[in-house]
This record gives sequence, structure tokens and C-alpha cells, in this order.
Amino acid sequence: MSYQLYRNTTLGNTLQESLDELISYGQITPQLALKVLLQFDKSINSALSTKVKSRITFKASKLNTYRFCDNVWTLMLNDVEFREIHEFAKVDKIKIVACDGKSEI
Amino acid sequence: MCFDLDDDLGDCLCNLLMCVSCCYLCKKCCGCEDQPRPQTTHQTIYVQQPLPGQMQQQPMYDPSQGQFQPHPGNYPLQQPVYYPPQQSGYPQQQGFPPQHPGYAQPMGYPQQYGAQMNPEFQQMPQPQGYPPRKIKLKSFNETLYLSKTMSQTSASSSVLKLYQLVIEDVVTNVRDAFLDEGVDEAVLQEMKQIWTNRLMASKAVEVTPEPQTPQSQPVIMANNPKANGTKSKKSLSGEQKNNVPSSLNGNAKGFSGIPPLAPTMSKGNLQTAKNLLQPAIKSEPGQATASSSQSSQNGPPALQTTLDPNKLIPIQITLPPQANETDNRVLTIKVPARAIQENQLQQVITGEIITSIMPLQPSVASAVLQRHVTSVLEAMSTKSNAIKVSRQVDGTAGDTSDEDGSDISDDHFDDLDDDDLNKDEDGSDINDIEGGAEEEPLNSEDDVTDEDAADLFETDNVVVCQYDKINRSRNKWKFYLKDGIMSLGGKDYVFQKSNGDAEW
Repeated sequence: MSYQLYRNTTLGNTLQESLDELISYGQITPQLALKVLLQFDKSINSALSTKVKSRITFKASKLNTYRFCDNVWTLMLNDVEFREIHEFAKVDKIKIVACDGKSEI
Repeated sequence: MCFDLDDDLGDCLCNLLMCVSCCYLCKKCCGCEDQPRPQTTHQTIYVQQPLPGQMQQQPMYDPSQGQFQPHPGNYPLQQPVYYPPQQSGYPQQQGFPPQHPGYAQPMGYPQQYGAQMNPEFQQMPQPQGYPPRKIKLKSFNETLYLSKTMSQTSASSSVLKLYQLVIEDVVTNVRDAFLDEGVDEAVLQEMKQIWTNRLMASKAVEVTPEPQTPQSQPVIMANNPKANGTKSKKSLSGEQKNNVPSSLNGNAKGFSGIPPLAPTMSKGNLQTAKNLLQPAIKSEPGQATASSSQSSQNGPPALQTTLDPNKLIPIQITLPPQANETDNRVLTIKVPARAIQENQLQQVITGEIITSIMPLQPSVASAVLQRHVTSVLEAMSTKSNAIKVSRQVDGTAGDTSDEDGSDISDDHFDDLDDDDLNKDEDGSDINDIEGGAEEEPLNSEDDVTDEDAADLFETDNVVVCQYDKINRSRNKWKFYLKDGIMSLGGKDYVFQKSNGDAEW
């Protein structure tokens, strides 16, 4: 079992749109689409934990809101600066959705 | 490999120093055998690897005679034998490129290039007797592509790589599920294709062109002479003087199969077409084909229908043959006339999509391509409409009107839209005033916070991740996150670990 929260990313959303399109054309069944999504959960979880090496730090001027519900943190931060060695990004508002990284589900 | 040894370097050092486009432009070497060779008064001297027995029999060049100097790289005797020119006494040129009496420099030929090259070449280790090589350039698309790839730095494409990896992983792992349900492999490939296309269209990933074999670079032709002309002009960037690459010429013959867009299409007509500009509507492909071919035969009276921006016009795309085939494959897709008029095709039909449909069956490839083009064009048209509207709200529509438009039609166009917008604005203004007047007495200060809470969690910048720990001491928070995908300002980033802090 893998977290499904990565479905709400560019990659996950585009996959869901693609599957919707195929379903609407009658080329696949919703059940098959669900299988694809479950496989996506597995693939993205394992790829993120094994293939990604980048480390990023960020600094926010303000933690606007936080919420901790069902072991999921939702944080709203303002004026966040992201730093990597080569990269720098700054946004005025950001939402962080984080599941528990230690639990083995 | 051929050298014109008018100077001691030869004019074209194809693989050694010139970029491919410059090499092509020099028109004097192997890559250009389709081009008429410039008339020079000198013999071409071939560099060959001599056969062992032949070597002593060949008339070796004797530098002391002063007719001809070997390359300063000082080949040992086993090295390529230079056959001296028959005509002797030709003055040795110091400069590069040589100023041949009968040789006109191509326009835009970098004059100083040779001067820089000369010493560089001398330092360069010469390949030991490499075999004669030929470079054949298929088209300028390919030329530019090659030079572009060569100058590409290894940018951080980790996000793209990760996404491609996940896509591949998903596709391979659901193949069995597809088979179990009796769904064709082609559907799986289509899913992959749509997914990739949507991902690329989202612009969230940095796109670095994948290394492709030159042969797989297709020639994209639209049956629009104007679009084609501008494109080739652009890609040649004025350096190409009078030689159209022969492969382009050859492919141009393919046009005859399709009804060409009326060649009389001019700015005025485009303007008329703009007046008709409507949000994209899908029309029936079959009917569109017939009418567009009909209209092009009928000439001016039917021109209006041809130029209806939403009219679907068939365009042909020729893919080079696969390894196991002999013939070029021709895909036909239909695009709205607007896409051709506004020259959007080059943005829509990218190298990636072409590469990805290459291995597919022509029918599947057409379908995939058609779907991709339609969706991307629709996205583009909605975007451009939105831009137009916002401009006109600012009241700057007159200033930003199209550059090639005639005043009359432009004004007409603007007036129409302005009227509509004014009505809208007036209406909403009234509503606002009324609403404000009614609500203001009731609207106490604390209402504002409620409104904020509603869209508090709404933002486009989202980080989806897992937390290792989240600490708080007083109002200071520290976050230790991992395995995240971030979407910041429309761009995606991924991280393994991310630490941050904030104050509440």
C-alpha cells in the first residue's frame, strides 16, 4: 500500500485526465483505470524514495495556518524561499500537504 | 572525405572544427554533394589511406619543391598520402577561407572563422588515417537540431527523468492488467502518449530535447506555403543564399497530393478571417476535408470558407521510414485553419511527439497525433482569447491591435468586442455598487476573516510530501520533510529531503 497523495501532482493529475479521456472514449473500463492509478501510487512512491537525491531548504516568513488531522499535516506558509545549490525560488504563498513518513503502510 | 587543398587545410573540416550548419554552408565538401560544387580552378585532392603495396609507388609529395605544403600536423609516411595538384604554381593562401577567383562566399559566412580555426586545427591531434567519411544532411531541421544538441549543457532534468521513469514503470506494470481485461496494447501505448503529451503541455517540466538519431528527425510539412516559407527562412537565419536543401525540395513534391491552401492568401484575407475569430469549435473532419478541397478549387468566392479559422484543414506529415520499412509513412491530420494562419503548428508538433509516435502504426500514430494537436490547439486558443479580453478591459486594445491589420477591419473588430465588454462592465459595476450599498452596514470587520478562511487553503503552489518530524518551540516551527513533489509557479521540483522553518 502506498500513499495516494501524489495523485494530486502534475504527474498524477495528467495521468487521471488521460485515464478519464480513455474511459470517455470507451477504450478502458473504470476498473482498469483504478488499477493504473494504484500502480502509479506504487511507482511514484518507490521512485521518490529511491531515485531522487536533491536536498532543499526553505525559509518562510510566516506559518499562516496549520492543521494536523488523521496524521496528515497541512501547512500554509507565506513568503517562502527555496534554496538548493543551483536553484532559488520564492513564492508568496504555499501549501504543504505531508503524510507521515515513518509509518509503514 | 575530400579536401580542396587550395590552402593547406582544406576548406571543410567537417567533423573536426565546423559545426554542421557551417559545414553545410561551406558547400565544398562531402556533405554537400547535392549542391553544385563551386567552380574552382584547382584540383581536388583526396586524402586516402593507401594500400600497403601502393604506398611506395604513389608519387609522394616533396615539400622541398614548394608546390604544396602538407598539413603542419606532420603526418608520418604511413599517414594519408597527399596527391599534389596538377596545376602547380598556385600561390599559397595564408588566410582562411581562401578567396577563390571563381568562388563566391556564401552570405553570412563567418569571415573570421577560419582565422580562429587555423591554429586550433594545428594543435588538434589528427585521427590516424580515418576512412573516407560522408556526411549527408537530410534537411535543415536536422542541421539545426544537431548543432543545438551539441551546444546543450547537461541541465538539471531530474524532474523530467523521474517522471519518465515513473511513466515507464507504470506502463510496464499495468501491461498484464490490460491483457487480463483484453485491452489492446495500442491502448496502453495511447495512454502513455496522452499522459506524456499532457505532462509536456503542462509546462511543469523543463524540456531538454532527447538525443535522437538524425534520421528520425522528420520533415514537417503543412500545406501552407506561407508557413513553410517563414519556417525555412527562420531556420536558415539568412545564411542560406540560394540553395534550398534538396531533401526539402523533394518533399515539397508531396504537396501535390493535398489541396494547397489558396495561394492568394494575403494580409487582407487574414484580416477577414480574424473578424470571424471564434472560440475553437470542433467540426466534423469528413465534411471539412471535402469543403476545403472544394473551396481551393473554386477560387476567390469560396475563399471565405477556406479561411474560416475553425475550418479543419488536412495537413500531411511525412515520417522517415522505420528500419524495417522502405517507404516514408505519411500521416494526415486535420487542424483548424487558424493554426496554420497563426503559425502555431511548429509549436504544437514538437520533436517529442513525433519521436513518440514514430514506432506506432500509421493509423494509431495519426490518431494520437490528431488528439494531441487538437487538445493543444484548444488550450492555446482559450489562452489567447483570455489574453485578448484582458487587454481590452484595460482599454489598450487599439494599441495592441495586430500589426499587419488594416485599420478598418481592426476598428470593426475592436468595436464589436468593446461593446460587449462595456455592457458587461456596466452591468457588473451596477451590481457591485448596489451590493456594496446594501451590505456595508451589515459588514462588520470580523466578516473578513471568514472570507479568508474559505480560500485559505487555495493556492497553486503546492508541496506534496511526507514528514519525518515537525517541531514547534514557542512560535518557531521546524519542518523535516522528505520525498516531495513541489509545484512552484507552474514548475515542478522534487526533493528527497527538505528542511525549513517558519514562525507562526
